[in-house]
Amino acid sequence: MDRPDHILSCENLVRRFGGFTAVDDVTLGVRKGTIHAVIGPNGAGKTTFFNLLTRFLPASEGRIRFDGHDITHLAADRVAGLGMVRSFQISAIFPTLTLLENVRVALQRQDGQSWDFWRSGKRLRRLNARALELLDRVGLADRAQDTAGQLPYGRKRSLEIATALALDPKLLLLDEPMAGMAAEEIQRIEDLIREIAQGCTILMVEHNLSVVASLADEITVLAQGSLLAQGSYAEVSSNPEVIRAYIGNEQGNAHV
Amino acid sequence: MSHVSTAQPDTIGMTAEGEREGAIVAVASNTNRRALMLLVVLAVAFAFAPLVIYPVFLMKIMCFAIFASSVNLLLGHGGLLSFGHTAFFGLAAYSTGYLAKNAGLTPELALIAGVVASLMLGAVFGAIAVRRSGIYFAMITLALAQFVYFMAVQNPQVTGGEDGLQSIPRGALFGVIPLNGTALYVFCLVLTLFAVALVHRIVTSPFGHVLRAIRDNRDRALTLGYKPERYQWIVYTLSAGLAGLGGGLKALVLQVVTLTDVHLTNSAEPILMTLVGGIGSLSGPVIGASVIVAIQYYLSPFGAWVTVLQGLIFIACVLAFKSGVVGLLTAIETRIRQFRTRQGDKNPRGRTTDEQERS
Ligand SMILES: Nc1ncnc2c1ncn2[C@@H]1O[C@H](COP(=O)(O)OP(=O)(O)OP(=O)(O)O)[C@@H](O)[C@H]1O
Ligand SMILES: [Mg+2]
Repeated sequence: MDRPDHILSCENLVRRFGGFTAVDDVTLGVRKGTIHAVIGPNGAGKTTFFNLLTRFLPASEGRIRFDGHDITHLAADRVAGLGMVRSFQISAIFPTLTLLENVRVALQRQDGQSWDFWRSGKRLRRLNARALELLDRVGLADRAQDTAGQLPYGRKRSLEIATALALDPKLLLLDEPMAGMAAEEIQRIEDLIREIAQGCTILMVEHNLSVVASLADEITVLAQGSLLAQGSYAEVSSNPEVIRAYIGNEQGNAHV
Repeated sequence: MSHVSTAQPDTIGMTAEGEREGAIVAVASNTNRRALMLLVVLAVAFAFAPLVIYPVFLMKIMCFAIFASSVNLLLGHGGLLSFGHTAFFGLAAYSTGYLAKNAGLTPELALIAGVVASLMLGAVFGAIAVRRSGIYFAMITLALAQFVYFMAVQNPQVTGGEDGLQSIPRGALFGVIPLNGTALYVFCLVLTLFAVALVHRIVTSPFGHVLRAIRDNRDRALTLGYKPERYQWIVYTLSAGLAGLGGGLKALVLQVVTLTDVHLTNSAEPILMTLVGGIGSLSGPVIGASVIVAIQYYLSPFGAWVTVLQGLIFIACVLAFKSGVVGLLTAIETRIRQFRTRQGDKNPRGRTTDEQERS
């Protein structure tokens, strides 16, 4: 299963909550340099799957490999250190920090000064230029001095992406990056993701199927924790099981 | 050319890179400058206050200001509520007092020994406490502090039991300068300023930025590759050492250490002071300590009513003035500035800095 063109792969991944199996025997490989989408009805286990991959939750069974490392038992901060960076379904920023500081905190880790409590914070100004560049990339440079908590929802997502990019990730995991966004914002984030994908692999959960259709090279469908289908958009969307799972869900009854 | 004035924030996005950065530095230092100004005012006030106010009372305030600063560091910037800081205050007070009295150490050495003892205890307690968060963290710190109190009660040969350590000698600084009168007062003032400056340094350092990020959003910090427990452990240890500085100094100033210095109620006071003064602000702990110690001192004839009054102040702070006296001052200053801008300027676009004083 561990093919050299896979940056991330998992084998027979299982996660149980009590008697309930949220992720059920998922085996998956993400090819380097692609945009890989995970779709599925609500409660399919997509976020749980991300939590397992990033080691926010321990897996009940299975193995995970990332970029040549077995990360099955690694701590979450170490996984991030290896270059797998995630965003959250509920946008995660540092609300009392300014936008600039939000991005700088990420830059700072690689800078290796994060322990220096005796040093002046002025040293961090060296990182300002790079932080501004990243904010510029997501269209937020003009608000660099604002407190992040004041941003409207869609803008917080952009900030979150800028912060993730500061780490220069090899693999970016995005959990519904466009949820709750206005149409023109969706377009902007879509362009941004396409641009980011030039330099890093992307694994994303997304409900907006037109976005998935235009962005994703590869699509994995999860339903009730299990892998239902995998392939290109054309392949997946014509799969009768996928259609049934989605229609079943729309009727408010996922348990067909 | 100097950097872009902060009065035109709209231009930030349009100017060249270099000027944009200049503007950023200017905004940041403007907030800083106001915080520093308030501190300077307080320092000058404390420098001249002994002319009219009983110096030992002022020095007691300073000891508690240091203690409250340690809580402010942990709670205001680390987001960690400790109910057990009395353990570090008390341990240092006993250590300093014992060594000055029974080992004949000079005051600065006795004080350093007290701080080191607190740092070490803080490192041990911190390693245990940061494994949990929220209310569990608070409960662990409380339990550990109870343990220290118990040890103090159980070892009267060291702590003097119910009597405590009495008539602790202040000695001579470096064995040369006798610590009394003006010398002692200056010593206290310098240490208090040192403590406040140290907290400021820590929270504005590269470490401090990470700490605030962890307080804001622990999971997000984790995805950036930070290990929250490590940072929290460091800030807990530093905070313990600072609490120790307050305790050790108290032993030298008041020349007594009793069980009340390790008692749990002594944990609540610096929290109250921090809240009253303004949580997360530079001068808040000094102001809070002044208010609370003054209430205890001047209203002591009313006995139990002092506790009731403190409780009411506490509730008022939590409900109404979340950012304490410093927050109130900042709000007033902002109002005045807005008023002036409206009066004097045809183009009323001056930056209304309603941000809290952030140190
Ligand atoms: N910590 C937990 N404890 C118990 N059950 C959980 C936990 N986390 C998730 N679940 C359950 O696992 C299932 C999958 O949840 P998950 O959040 O992974 O779904 P999702 O595919 O991300 O859904 P959505 O599209 O709504 O975001 C749900 O039934 C959920 O209730
Ligand atoms: Mg989800």
